[in-house]
Amino acid sequence: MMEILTNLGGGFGIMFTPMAIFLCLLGVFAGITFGAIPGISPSMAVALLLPMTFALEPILGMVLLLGAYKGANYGGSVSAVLINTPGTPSAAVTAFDGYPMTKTGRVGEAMGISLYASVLGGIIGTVVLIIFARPLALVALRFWPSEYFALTILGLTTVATMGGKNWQKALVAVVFGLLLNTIGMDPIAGTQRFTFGDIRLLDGLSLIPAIIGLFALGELFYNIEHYAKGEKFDKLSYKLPKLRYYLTVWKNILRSGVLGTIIGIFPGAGGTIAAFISYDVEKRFSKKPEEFGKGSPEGVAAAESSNSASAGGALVPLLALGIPGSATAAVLLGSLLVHGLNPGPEMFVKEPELVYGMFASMFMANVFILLVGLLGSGLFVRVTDLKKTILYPLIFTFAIVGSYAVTSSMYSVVVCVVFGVIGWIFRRYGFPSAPVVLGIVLGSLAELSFRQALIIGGIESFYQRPLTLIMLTVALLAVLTPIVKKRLADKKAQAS
Amino acid sequence: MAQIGRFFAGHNVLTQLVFLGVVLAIGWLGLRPFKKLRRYTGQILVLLGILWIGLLFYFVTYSFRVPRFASVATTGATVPRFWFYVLIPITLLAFIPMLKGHEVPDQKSGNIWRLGVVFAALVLSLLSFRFIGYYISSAVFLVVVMWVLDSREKVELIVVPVGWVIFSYFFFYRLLYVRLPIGTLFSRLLG
Repeated sequence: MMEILTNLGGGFGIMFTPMAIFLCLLGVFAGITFGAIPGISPSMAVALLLPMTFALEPILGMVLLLGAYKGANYGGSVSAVLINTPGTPSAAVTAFDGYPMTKTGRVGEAMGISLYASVLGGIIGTVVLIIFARPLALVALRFWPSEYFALTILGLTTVATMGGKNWQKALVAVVFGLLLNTIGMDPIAGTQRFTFGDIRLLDGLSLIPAIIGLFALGELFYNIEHYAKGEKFDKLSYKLPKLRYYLTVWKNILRSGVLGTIIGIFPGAGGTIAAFISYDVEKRFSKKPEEFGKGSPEGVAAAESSNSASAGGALVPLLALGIPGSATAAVLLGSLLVHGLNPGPEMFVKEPELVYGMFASMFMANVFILLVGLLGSGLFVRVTDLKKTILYPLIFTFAIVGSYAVTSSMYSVVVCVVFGVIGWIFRRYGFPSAPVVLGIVLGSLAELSFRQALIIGGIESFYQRPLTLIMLTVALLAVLTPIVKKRLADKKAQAS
Repeated sequence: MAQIGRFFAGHNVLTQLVFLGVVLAIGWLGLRPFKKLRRYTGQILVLLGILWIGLLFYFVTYSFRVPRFASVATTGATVPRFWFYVLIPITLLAFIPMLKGHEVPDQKSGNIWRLGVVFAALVLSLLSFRFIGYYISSAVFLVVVMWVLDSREKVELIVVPVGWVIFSYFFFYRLLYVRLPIGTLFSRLLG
């Protein structure tokens, strides 16, 4: 422990130079800006800044990129809360409650909670990264496909609480998402599935355009259908709550931060799955679960904290083992390799200044996110001052460019519009859209790990490996508990 | 089953949409005699549409070529079929509250015409990307949507599209390297 603290002191020593502070601030600012734009993912934000690092010292380059990574993770929530257009896939979960809060005039609360939860979640993720990087990475590597499959099933069980009263429709929506996810190349044998002669479908449906379509365009189509002449947004009084207010959600932030870090460690899992699972866990723990999806501060806190913490978790396998667990981690690995550095256990011994300098920069990035967020939130919120006649068309064009940016082709735009129509139909007939996203996000990992598990260990791997069995049992309980509880409550009500 | 699968797999996406339309039309006609269910027409058609997509995928899985090493537990057809098997009871589960009359009825339609015009403008705008490019196309689209939403202020109708084009050029094209289509017209004019 003393060694860690000493090295961390050295890391902060590097960070407290004007150049490092400037680059960290620049990275955070760029990350928040890019992250808030639908279609520009954190990995794209980091990749766009990568060329700037070639001329910098390795540590300074990493300071810039990590700042952008952390900033983009937070930036996604800004557009999610304000206009129901998640800037990043993981921010889709923030939109569940953040946007309803904005619609009901609680924009200050929503922005404040997302900011503080993001910062605190990021700090939790960084602390776990510093203390447990090596042992956790080794545990993650011991995960078999059957455990990955169990993890995705655990993620899918979140649908049980996501639908609320419409749980039957939520189930239909999640299976619809899972079905859509099978479009494209089969991940094991390479069979072409449901492409109907269109080679663009071989890669499957792009996630980001699908999310933009479902949430942004779906909502827009609905609003335009029900638009009345001269309609204006309610004047939003933007005021960040006092610090005392955030104490009401500290437990949610802490739990989701730890959970997000743990899920983030597993290569391929990522912030979106972390946000979904944490949201579900917090809904189960909550004393007011009925508020989730309608503007619950706990929901925003859970989604943002776990998403931000997962960024720290994703760096665990990268730094400790040299394995990038996410697209952004792969870009960061590329940056390290460009500078002739090989991440892995030896880097902790050979380059402690670099490793702990990176840790210190992550702490500093969180401070800057808080700073930029506090100063900028008031400005971001002004977007809702625009008239609907201006804002609606602009959201359309943002959504189109955002989708186009993903693959630089019209295919993504078409996917976005198709999902926009699906989102509108779902919105109109009371089908929740979020489970469709859940199905698309988890479908690939579920199929791949399920089939890998069968190939490697046969059907036995699902009940002979203790961890798999435990996770599957928890998943089963997660589905059954609300149903049984509801039945019991109904019986009680009938009896009385 | 394989023949049905090959039949559906042999048609392109647009034809699949026509098939979906036919199924929905049949479903709509089939619901007409049932007064009790009529108020759930939209919701039932959504369920029917999803079920049809599941069924379509199920049939098409029988047209997949089976790889030589398929004996190792699963093929590309396993998972889609599994999801379809799950979908059937779940769809029924969602249908039961409507059958019992416990579900909230479909909400009344808003201004479908306005939405139709905006959607048509969107589609036309996307189609024209190839010819007149993103910048002009999006500017025209902005004006049309603003007009449809009853904006009549001339300054707004000029400043917003022009501002957007300038912003998108500098921010997306120059800063983020998003190569937005400039269209055949301009690529020819500019050589």
